Amino acid sequence: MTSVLAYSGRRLLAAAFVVWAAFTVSFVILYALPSDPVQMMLARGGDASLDESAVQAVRHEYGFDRPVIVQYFARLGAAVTGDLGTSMQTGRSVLVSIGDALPQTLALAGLALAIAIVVALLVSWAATLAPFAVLRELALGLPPLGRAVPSFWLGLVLLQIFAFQLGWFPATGNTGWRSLVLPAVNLSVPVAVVLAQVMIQSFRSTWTAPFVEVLRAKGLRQFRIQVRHIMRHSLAPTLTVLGVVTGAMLAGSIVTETVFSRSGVGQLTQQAVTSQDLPVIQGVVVLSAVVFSVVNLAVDLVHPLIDPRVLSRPLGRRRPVAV
Amino acid sequence: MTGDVTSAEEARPEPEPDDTGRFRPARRGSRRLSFRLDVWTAVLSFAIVLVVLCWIVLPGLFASGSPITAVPHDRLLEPSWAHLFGTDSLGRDLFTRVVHGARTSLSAAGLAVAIGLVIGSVTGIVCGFFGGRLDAVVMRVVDVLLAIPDLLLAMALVAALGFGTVQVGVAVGVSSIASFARLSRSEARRVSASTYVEAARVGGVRPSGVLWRHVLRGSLGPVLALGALEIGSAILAVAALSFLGYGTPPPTPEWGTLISDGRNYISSAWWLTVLPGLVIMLLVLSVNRLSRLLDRQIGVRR
Repeated sequence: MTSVLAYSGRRLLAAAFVVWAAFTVSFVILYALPSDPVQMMLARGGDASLDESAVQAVRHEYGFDRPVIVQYFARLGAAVTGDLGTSMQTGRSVLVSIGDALPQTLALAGLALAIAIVVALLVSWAATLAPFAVLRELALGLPPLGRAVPSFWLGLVLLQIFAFQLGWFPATGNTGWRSLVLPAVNLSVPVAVVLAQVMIQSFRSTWTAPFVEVLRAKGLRQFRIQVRHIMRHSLAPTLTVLGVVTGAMLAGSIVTETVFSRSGVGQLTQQAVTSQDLPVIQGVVVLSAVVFSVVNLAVDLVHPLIDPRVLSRPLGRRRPVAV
Repeated sequence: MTGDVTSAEEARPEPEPDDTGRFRPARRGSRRLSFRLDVWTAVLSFAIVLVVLCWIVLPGLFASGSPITAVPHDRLLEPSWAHLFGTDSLGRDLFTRVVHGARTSLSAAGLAVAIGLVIGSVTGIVCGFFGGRLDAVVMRVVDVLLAIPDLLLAMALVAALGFGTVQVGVAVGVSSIASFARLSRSEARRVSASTYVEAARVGGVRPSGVLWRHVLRGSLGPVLALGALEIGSAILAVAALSFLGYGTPPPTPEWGTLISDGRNYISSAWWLTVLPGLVIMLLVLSVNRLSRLLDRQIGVRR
């Protein structure tokens, strides 16, 4: 029991470390590099009468006139209490902006993940277990194709066909479930590619496992072996790439939400970079680290339920190996 | 295989080893099919990459005329023999702009891969070879960088560096350093532990000699293969960043910007978005195909 507690404690500590390190890395990139966000922000207003004292005043307001190391600890101290600063464009709290945008992105990502799982299962089945050689070759070509297609372009093509030509779905906006379909399909492609690659490999290696041989010898029908045993067995390796998959979805949402003009974390990020709104960008980077850590913790917790053997391994080697 | 087997089972009687030594469901007749496909796609990929390389070197040869000068008379013409890809809202020939854009887009991608490959593999190989505290610290940083999605990291860098082709290339390159470092470190460790490196050490070769002559050369193969694969990702990442509006300002042609310009005419002029995107996709598909070929070749040699 104590060992389990120690194990959980270590994993929590590791997660906290990742979040802190992401905060630090983003601070180094955004604040320690010689860029001048204040100049940028004031220049946005469009007035040429940019006098030095005004610049200095704003610089002082945001604390940019202090030494970098002082800025770092001030920001870190605030971040620990949940204050990620205020947006330089809207003046709103970064945490509140992200919190407002998050539900939209979560809905999008959830539907995209569901679509991706179904598509990846179908493609992997067709690529490895399907009875026709031509079908297998075709399906095997799909993941590389999905890897090569520019995500933003695919989104625009979907818009063109299903929104403008056929008129089935609205082109932009956040209202109703219909507006969610096309963006989710768009976002599901990179996710499905990652999942399908893992599944194809896993289906192949499971196919020749001794227990499958036994099932075949017992006379189980092919389809039952495939669905009940091979696919279920492949669940565990698929779970281990969930961290990668969530990252892919967060990055994908930036492009997808821009293409479909949906509000969400992705659009927030895109606008923040366009206006060099450093606190918001840092907030999103920290968010991505938090999400990554939470997902990996969840995977660690769920893994024994799917594959009880991990509990009998020594604690140090319990973590699934990333692919 | 006697008696009453179903047709589904007959399609794959027994698993047999394939050329990679792994077992996979047996395929009757599909080996020949996949071999023929392999050869043809490889040849086609090579041709596509070659053509695009020629676009970079001699754009004028493929598309005469200026990619920048507006021709108001020819606004938004559909693709035809005179204008292969049609024309844009200012009457500029889209094919000419795609051909000329190759240089901007692909030099940014090339810069990105060069940065990632050089900095990443040097860091990784040095860490893997010397190990110790330096290795532990650097690899922790690499782990954290890998936890942040590449595109997000690149965007943060763009926000700090400013907008433009070079900045985008640098940002994409820096965000790919971590994966290069991770791979080259594990390769360097593998090579460092091998018998011939041990022999060199025992034989009295200086550490710098071992690092340079044996560990670096021994671990370079897989790293170069990753570099080849990274070209495709870099092309896509650069295109995505310039689509989001962080690339070269107009009127310079650039692939991602071309597509984002076409967005405004998406309901009336399909070719403005569809055709440049197809070019990007075909190129990335070809580059990835060739890099996988390279990867397999290196794997076989090992």
